[in-house]
Amino acid sequence: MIILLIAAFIGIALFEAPGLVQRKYWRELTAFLLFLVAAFILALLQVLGVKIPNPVKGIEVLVKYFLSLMS
Amino acid sequence: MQKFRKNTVTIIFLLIVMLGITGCWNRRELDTLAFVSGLGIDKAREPGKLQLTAQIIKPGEIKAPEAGGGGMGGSKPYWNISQIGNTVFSTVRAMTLKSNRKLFFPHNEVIIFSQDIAREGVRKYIDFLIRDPEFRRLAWIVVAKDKASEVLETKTELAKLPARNIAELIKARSATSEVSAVNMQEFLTRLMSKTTAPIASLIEVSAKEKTAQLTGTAVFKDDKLVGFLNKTETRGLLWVINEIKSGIITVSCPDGKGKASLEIIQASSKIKPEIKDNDIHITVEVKAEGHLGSQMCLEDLTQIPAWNSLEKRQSEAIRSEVLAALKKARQLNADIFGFGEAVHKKYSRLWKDIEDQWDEFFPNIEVTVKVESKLRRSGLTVKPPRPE
Amino acid sequence: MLEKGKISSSQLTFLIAGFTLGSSLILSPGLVAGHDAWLAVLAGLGSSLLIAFIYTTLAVKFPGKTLVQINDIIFGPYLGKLITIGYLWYFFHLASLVLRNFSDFFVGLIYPETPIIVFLIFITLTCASAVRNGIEVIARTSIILLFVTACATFLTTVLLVKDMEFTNLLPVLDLPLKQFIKASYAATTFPFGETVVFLMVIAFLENTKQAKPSVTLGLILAGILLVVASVRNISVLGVTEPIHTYDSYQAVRLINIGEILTRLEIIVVGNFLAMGFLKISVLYYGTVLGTAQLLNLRSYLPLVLPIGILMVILSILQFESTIENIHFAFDIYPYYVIPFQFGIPLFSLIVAVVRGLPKKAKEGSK
Repeated sequence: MIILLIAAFIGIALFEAPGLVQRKYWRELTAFLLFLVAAFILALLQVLGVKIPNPVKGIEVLVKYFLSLMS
Repeated sequence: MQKFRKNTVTIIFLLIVMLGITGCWNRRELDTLAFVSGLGIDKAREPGKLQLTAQIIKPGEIKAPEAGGGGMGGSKPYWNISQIGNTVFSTVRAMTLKSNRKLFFPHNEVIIFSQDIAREGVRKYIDFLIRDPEFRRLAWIVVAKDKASEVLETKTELAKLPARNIAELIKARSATSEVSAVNMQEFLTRLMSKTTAPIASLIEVSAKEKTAQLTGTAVFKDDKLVGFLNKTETRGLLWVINEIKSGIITVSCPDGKGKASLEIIQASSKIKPEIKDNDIHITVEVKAEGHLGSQMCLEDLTQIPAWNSLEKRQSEAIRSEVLAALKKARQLNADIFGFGEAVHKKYSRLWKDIEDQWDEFFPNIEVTVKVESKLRRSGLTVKPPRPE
Repeated sequence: MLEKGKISSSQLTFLIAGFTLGSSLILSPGLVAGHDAWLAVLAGLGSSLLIAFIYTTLAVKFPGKTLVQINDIIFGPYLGKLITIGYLWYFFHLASLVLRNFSDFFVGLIYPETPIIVFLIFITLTCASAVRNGIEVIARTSIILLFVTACATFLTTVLLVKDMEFTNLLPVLDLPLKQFIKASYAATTFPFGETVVFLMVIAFLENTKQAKPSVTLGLILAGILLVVASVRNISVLGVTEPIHTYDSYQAVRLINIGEILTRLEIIVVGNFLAMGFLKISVLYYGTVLGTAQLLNLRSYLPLVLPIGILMVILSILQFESTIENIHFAFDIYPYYVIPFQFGIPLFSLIVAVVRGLPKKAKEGSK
């Protein structure tokens, strides 16, 4: 599973990066790599079964807090 | 180089997608499935448990309709598998311990409840049957006078499968309109209504011939079976709920010396509620059209006075059927006609006060039955075959 | 310019209609109102036309500018960026929500044994390919897809006529006013108000002045189809409607014309597939394009796949079960979207008018 994941990410990097390098789009390349690495870390954590904090739970708490302020 | 890279990626991507979208994560081939055509639910001997009987089609036996009919040699084209368990779902799954193929329900045509289980309430069994995506809502709901598993064992002459046979009997009801036909969706609608009582077809197995026969209507109160309507009462019910397709009304000839049969060709009805001075009044308007189908008396019925008298008798017969159904419904205190819903729709404000006491209102509601019936034609002849 | 494509006003209409139908063809809006759901949908449509007026006024004031650029102009580079990040999160989250609903539907009803990740990945890949091709391609597909969906909706309705019981719609407005308002409000926020993402798209309209009529027409078109579907479902299912997870699917399952035309539920699935694809693609596109603009990139293409993966991850992560999903959709979502759908757009418009912004911005740029 992890090997598959790594292969997929390398595949994506190979798909996007050469074109960016060729056109000297360094800023784009940085953004791309940043997002890709973030995605990779999160995906890896998920595959490994590590509990990642759920942002939607945070939204729920926030909305409930505002609703309680209203009433 | 750039182009080559793009093409390679595209091809690899397409290959992955092609493999992916075939929809086969895993597969269920035809020869690994056991097609269920009917499901019977009985009470098991052990208290609190149920016995499920599934009728599985044997594809090998059913495909050879060689001359001579089904019964000759060979084995039965179906296999009834029974299992005892605590819940419907667990019992269905436990059946795979006996059947090498997994039970497959989308082609299930009838669901049969035995009388004793229906008397205890069917809601707990219905839940699985509407929650699971494999079951279809068009399956007929039937109550067996005795055991459901017996109904699935009945002899059939023209159909190959007992379950199929029952489904076809129910579909053929329109010729008489003397038995009700209720599919899962309709049953569920009535079950979820606050006032309307659920109904189902009633089936009996004849003692001698072991054949299945529809004999009327099973009436539920909430989800519990409380009684039955016979054929006349059933037709009375069907007149009111606008389910009459065809049927034969027998009346005596105006001269009183024999009987005439009138065939219903068209019918419609309306329930009109009215609240006056805190009294609920319901008017049932039935409109019917018929043919003169046969006469067993010698009178010339196509003379205007006799014809009119016949029409009147037809109306009277319809009225008495409706009244019979009404009487039975009042006895059982089950609103099989949907009077409550009709009141709710017209008087939504007042309804909130009535709703909870509907059981007290219903038996005492004043009901007027208005029947308007016509006789349209007399068939190939106008006079009985007798010497002038 | 990051996006070179241009869309015509009719394409915008169809795209808005398809987007609005999106997941609401399956997850019927206004369900809280019981058998008056269709009225709640109508009320939601009415109020959303007012809200859409805010969006389009903003878009017309700043022709050729996307939401990201508008925010920068109105709120300045810092606050503007912050608001933009909020919006990008909302689009991103909404895309992953729709993606999740979509995949849950397939796993729950049609492919019970397939892991949900398979659907998430393949739908995302399909949408990624659409997003990479640009808004023009998405807009073009919308015409075909919406046409098919509209036909299918009417076809299934016609085939169900004999099972319809129009008295199920009676008595009209048989519920407390408060509950009706709640249902109408919910219908406004889902699906109509979600069109706020089109502030990322209207910028590419050939003739910005046509934005108002196109958006209004698109919303009305979707509204009509939703009301038709709602009336169909209520009149067919009656009292049993509220217990169903997917009422359109169940209603169409009941089609039985002489035992020949039956088992047609796949039509609903097809519709859902087509409309869901449009909705996810537009949201996905909005997120990717907005991020690229925020980061001042020359191309948004490299962001498509990484953001898609993040979308898949959030889809899996956000709910443990469909029950949590339903709770979120009914109790949290209608309030969560207040700033995005009403608050900020209205505030932006007020600020823009007070500061007389569009003119100055034009002069400044010239």
